[in-house]
Amino acid sequence: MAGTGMQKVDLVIAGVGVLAVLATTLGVVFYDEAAGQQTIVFPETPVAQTDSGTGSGTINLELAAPDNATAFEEMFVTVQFTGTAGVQPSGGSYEVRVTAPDGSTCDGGQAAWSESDVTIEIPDCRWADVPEGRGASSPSDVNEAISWDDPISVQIIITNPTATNIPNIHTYSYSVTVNADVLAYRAQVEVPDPQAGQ
Amino acid sequence: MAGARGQFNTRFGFIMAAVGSAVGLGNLVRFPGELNENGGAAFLIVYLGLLLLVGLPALLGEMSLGKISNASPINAFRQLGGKHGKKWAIIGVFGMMAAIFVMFFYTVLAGWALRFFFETFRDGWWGPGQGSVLFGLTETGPWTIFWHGVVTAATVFVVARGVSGGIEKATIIMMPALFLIIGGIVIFALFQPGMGAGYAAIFKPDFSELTTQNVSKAIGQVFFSLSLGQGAMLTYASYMDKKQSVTKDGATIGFADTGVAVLAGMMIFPVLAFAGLLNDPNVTGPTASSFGTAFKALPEAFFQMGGGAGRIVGGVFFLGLFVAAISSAISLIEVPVSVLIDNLDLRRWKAALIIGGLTYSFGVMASINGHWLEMYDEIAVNVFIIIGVAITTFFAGWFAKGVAKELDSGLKSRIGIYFVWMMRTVTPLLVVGVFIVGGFFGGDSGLEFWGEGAGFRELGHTIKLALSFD
Repeated sequence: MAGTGMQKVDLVIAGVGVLAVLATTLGVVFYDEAAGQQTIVFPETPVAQTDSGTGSGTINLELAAPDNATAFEEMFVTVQFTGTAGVQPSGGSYEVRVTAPDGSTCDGGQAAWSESDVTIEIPDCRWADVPEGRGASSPSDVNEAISWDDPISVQIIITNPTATNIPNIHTYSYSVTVNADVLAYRAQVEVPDPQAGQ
Repeated sequence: MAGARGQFNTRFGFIMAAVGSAVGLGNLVRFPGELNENGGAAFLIVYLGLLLLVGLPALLGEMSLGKISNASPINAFRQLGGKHGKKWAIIGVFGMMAAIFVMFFYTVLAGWALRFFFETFRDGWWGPGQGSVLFGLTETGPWTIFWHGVVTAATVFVVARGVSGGIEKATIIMMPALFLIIGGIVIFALFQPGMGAGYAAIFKPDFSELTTQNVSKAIGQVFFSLSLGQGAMLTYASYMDKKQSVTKDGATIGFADTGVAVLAGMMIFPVLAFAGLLNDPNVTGPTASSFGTAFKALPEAFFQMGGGAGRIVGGVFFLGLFVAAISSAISLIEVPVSVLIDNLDLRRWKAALIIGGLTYSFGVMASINGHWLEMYDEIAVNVFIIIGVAITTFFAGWFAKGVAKELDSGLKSRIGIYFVWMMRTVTPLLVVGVFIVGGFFGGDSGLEFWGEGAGFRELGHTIKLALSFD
């Protein structure tokens, strides 16, 4: 091999070395974890659950998170709660709260017990990066204690009025509809089995 | 020339290297999963039949070309193609390109296994459901680049040290170690509660599962498991001792490859059965995958085994997975390295550095975005491997001189002509048939499954779209 030829090979090796350094630098600096994931809107039609009842305490409605959800990008939950008290005393309240699988909450507000036919809406109960460290921007900080197969819980809390000497005080009825209109989440792209996998 | 190119010192060394090339992630994880999903022993019987009809003839054809020519893929076709040698050389280019595209992502996969091996012994990732979370963080990211780099460097190091000094020395250690690992876990699994359900999952025959789809899956598995169409077997055979028998060694390689795959099933499924994960969606059903089984379900199963035993078995399993992957990666990188050595008279270490650098650089893209991995795989399979296998086998059967004689050498009986006729007829026809039928008559034709397993439908759909068939 002539000397010139050897120099060409060495130049090629140097070029490949530069390419490797460049690829590493660009790969690390511009790595976008979201690029390896895909956003899926789930479901195509809004999730809705309705329940109703009488009594004191709380009601939990559960919206199952989709399989393989690793990080929620956005979540919009609307809760429509209608309650009717048998009487209209003062002091108590209805309260609606949406709880994410990690336990974080989104309060929809309260309505006074004295009102009948109450409607409480949470028009934009939204987590842009819920839970902390699990948002689309930082999957490397995944909190492994959270199972995203856990449901999204909608909690209706009814607080009794302070005055208890009024007859029929504990009688009320309610119905609640939970809509997760656009439940967008990022699901890990499952790399398919390579066919040329030896 | 042989001395300059290198040669395996022993038959054992050659067979270990070739088995190392053939045995990879597909054997250890995908094949057992296919047994489980596609009819158990019924699938195995079909697989063995196809191994004889398609796999062995194609394997022996590739090996014969390498041994007769004593050259790397491009040179082998050029040399054996006679006056049209330059045109035939394009098939050698196909093989080399297939190897290049596969190795762009194979070192990444080996890096996953290596990371899981180390992480098994770290407390942070040892717990329920942790395998899934760790896998999510392992598929892509800066750490994926790191582990891919480690694997690529190790692969280049082995290849740069030469055929006997590097590849042979490494594989005669790695492959027996892999057999010990698999054998050890198989014996361990034998004593796990519920192991019977595990064996039933992969061996209980269900002939109703022998659909065209599943038969085509078996064909695909035969191709890819034997490293066909990627120039690897041709290249390794070019380093064989002239006294060795291609037929004996090829049959040994083919059946060892299948044996390891079956043993892998006996290793994995009893463990999954013990943990109650036989019906886990990562293992079976529409979302099941080899990766899901290996990196999500099995870590969970190892954890459920409890403390020390689970960790040791888990760690050893991932070490075995890594060994299987890197021994295949070594054979893939050797293909373009041998082409550079043969055609540019390069020093081996320089050729290895160039190819290793390119492998690393392109692998970085697969390390940061899984879509690249998928694309490399599809290009390798749909563009290079299928066409390469069909034409290589056809070429070996019809055009290359001395293949039957080569196959008979070292044997008492004359069976070379049987394989030559298979190379001339059945093998390429089956390959092309699967390709054409699967590609063009997929979708709603009722024959949609034909070829799906071998992954030809995408290309077929692309062509159909281009021709406005749809």
